[in-house]
Amino acid sequence: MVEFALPKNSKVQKGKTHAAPEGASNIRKFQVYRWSPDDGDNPRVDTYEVDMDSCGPMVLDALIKIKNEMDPTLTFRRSCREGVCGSCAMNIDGMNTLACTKGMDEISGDVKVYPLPHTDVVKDLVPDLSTFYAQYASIKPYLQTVSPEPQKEWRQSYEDRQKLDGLYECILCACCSTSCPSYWWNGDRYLGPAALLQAYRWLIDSRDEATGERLDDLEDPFRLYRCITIMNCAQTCPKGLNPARAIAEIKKMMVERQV
Amino acid sequence: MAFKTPMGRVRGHGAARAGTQTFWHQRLTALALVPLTLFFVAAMITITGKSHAEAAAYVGSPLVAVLLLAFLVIGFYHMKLGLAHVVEDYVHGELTKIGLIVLINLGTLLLGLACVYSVLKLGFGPAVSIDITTPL
Repeated sequence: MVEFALPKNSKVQKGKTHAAPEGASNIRKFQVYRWSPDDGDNPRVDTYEVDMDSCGPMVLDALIKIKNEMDPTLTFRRSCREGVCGSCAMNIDGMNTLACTKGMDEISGDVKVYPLPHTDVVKDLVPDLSTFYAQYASIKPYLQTVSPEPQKEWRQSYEDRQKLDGLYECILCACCSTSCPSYWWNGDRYLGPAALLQAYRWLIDSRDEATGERLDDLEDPFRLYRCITIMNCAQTCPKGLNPARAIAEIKKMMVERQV
Repeated sequence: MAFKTPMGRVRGHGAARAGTQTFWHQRLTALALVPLTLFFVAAMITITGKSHAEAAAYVGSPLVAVLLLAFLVIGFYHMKLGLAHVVEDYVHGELTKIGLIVLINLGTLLLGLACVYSVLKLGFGPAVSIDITTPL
């Protein structure tokens, strides 16, 4: 059965409190999930008192400040700091989002920072996304054609190009897939909203000639049909995309080729 | 676990090439059940407080009987699809899962048949009791 409670060694405990530097007047508390594979301890939530007068506006700014000035052991992924790389996806204030585009003024009270839900944790805020990436690779996210390659580029009309809007912007941060209960319970067999949105991006690309094979590979009670339009994916997407709509469109294509 | 690559696990046994029919039937039956359920509720209100003979006559009238049978067959089929989906979602032990799905299939079939039988029995009049111990 589905496990609704955490196993004994995953129960989260109260951690250390790192006090703000003396003289700081504008203090914000950060509660951050910590776990290390090396010490054999249970996960814990550490509290950091951050001086907001010398901190940037985004949650990522605060995390970097904590790592630089308060606790160098804090581990998280980050790269572009402007919402295009998807590295700093984590659960902030109960919602999966990118730390770099989440402003602290959007959060009331203490800032709670956890790794993406229902993922294996590598360390602290770093989740293991190897299955997620394999699922993306499995949908063959590249142009497939049988026609001889044209001298120049594969041409596409303006209207056909517009169909890719709302799909190509996906940065594969995994916020949507790890917010999806269907993905939580069956993430080994269900492809999840991110991979399915990408699958649809290639299904409706007017230049692609493998639509039938792509549909064949998705037609499965688990790979595609675990989606029951809970819509957490669309709710949480930090890029404002709608994977649920893409999945519904795939289902429509499936029915269309049978009816 | 063993040393299987993530890609190996994701590709698994490949796509089952199934599920579209289940999905499509689920939507169609759901749609059909909207008017049929309203009719069922109305029919039940109509026969409330009536005598057995009056109720039997009402249930047995062609239109009511056919709509009731449609409600039952479609309703139990929809129930089967829904319950199986719940089991597929939440039950992860392979044996328990298959066992429960068999149980759901047989259970909804038997319950459905019992309901269909009762409508037909009401419609076609009281059963004639035959004493099988005495020779004809």
